Amino acid sequence: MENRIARYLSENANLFHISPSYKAKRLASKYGFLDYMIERYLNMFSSKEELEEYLNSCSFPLKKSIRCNTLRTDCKKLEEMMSEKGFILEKVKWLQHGYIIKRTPPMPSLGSTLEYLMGYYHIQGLASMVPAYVLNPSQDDFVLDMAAAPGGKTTQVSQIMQNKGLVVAVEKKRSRIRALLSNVNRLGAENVVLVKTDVLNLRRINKFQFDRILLDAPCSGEGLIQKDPTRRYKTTIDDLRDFAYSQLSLIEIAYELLKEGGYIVYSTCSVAPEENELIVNFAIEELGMKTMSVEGYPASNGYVEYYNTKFNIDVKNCLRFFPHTQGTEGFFLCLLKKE
Amino acid sequence: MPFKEGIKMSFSKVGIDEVKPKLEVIFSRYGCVNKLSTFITNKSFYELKGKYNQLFMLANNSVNNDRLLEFLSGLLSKGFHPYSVGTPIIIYDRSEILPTLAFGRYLAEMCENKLVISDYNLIYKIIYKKPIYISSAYNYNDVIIVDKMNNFIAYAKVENRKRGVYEVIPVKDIGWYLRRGG
Repeated sequence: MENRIARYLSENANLFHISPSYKAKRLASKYGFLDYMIERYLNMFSSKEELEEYLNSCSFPLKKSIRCNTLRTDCKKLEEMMSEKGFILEKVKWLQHGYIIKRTPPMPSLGSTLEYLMGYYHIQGLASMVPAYVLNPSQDDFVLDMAAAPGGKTTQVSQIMQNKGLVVAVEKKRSRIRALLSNVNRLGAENVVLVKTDVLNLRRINKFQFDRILLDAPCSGEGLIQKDPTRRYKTTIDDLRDFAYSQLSLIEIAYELLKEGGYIVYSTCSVAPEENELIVNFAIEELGMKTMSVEGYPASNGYVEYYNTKFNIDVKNCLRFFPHTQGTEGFFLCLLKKE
Repeated sequence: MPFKEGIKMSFSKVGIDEVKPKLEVIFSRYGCVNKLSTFITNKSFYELKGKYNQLFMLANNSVNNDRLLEFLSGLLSKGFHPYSVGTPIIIYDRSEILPTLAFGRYLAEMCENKLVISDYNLIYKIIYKKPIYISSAYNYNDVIIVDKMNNFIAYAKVENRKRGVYEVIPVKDIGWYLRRGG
């Protein structure tokens, strides 16, 4: 199995050998990015103007956003309660429970209101609310959340399932599973089983398979530069290859743990094709999965071609979010079916 | 009560007979023992034993129990155990039984030993773990603090300080989610 991943990465080795051009070096110096990152962006965006729009947008803070938690409250009631405290919420049309915070009072902060502590809402990026909706679990489903902490998506899946069915949320780090449990309890998600282990170990449970799987894979976070400016220069191309290796391993495990006819949502908070289309292409070409078209979101399509590499045409069904076009964090997701 | 590394832990489904005496302690403490039988109906309970023990609760009508047991027994057979199942409701050892914050919502619905605080400034004191003082006569030592909409805020002790003045000392409050929850 590891050989398959190693072979796949070796076949796509050109993606991890980037020679930055003079133009890339100049822009990297201007915007404070690593030059290999800019060289890749020159291959991703349609024009230099669009690239500069993207780079500029990375310097502006993201709009704060929350997900109204219908397990604990009614969203209209939440709007009123928050308004009384001086928070003005604006409903996001394309997200069933998503709100942008248009105005905040000097006190209290968004993460310390009574409504937050009572679990009426969760602070969550707009694009990161999309995977749970796209997964669209039913109330009978057994759902696996493979990298669950800190629990925003886990609790959103519970919300969509109205606390019915079961969500198995896996997290291997002790420090992170505490935050996950805290959020699960605060938000009143009562259909969740938390397991502290490496998801690899779930393979050892004979034949148990899930109806739907959410794989929000650990990633470079290249979509969160507004939140963490160090990401402009933190990840080397070798780090990116390591992330890709681990993401390929995870999607392979997800495939094994999924029922025939079941669905996986693969997502990352990264804009890097090496962590996104490359992984989905592996699921299509090596695992025989099928991408599904997703409607209703103001997103761009996945890249079919990038840095002299042609991916399977069906990666175009994947969704991409960018700060300069959608006003969200940089994000990627894809709905895949096991046939 | 944090679990400690190196303690051998065990996980199992537990019957009503084992659960009832433990829950009786809590239901008596907060004045809702008459609701206990109804409360435990149609629920499954699971126990995680370690240095401290935890009891979890899952509604029977919400999940395919056969499939859940298949998953859990698969997990246990390979030497793993869940970290949490459904809602954690009590934490206990030989000397004491404590209700969890998540259980507070249920108890606030059922119990009579309740202190309703309408003033949100006082509620903010409670969630910052500060005691408050009230003048109303209170016969309870242990209370559940709720806001005017019956939302659970805290477990607290009430102590008679001077004539007609009672100190309400938060024991565990939802501010924990901010201070420690992560």
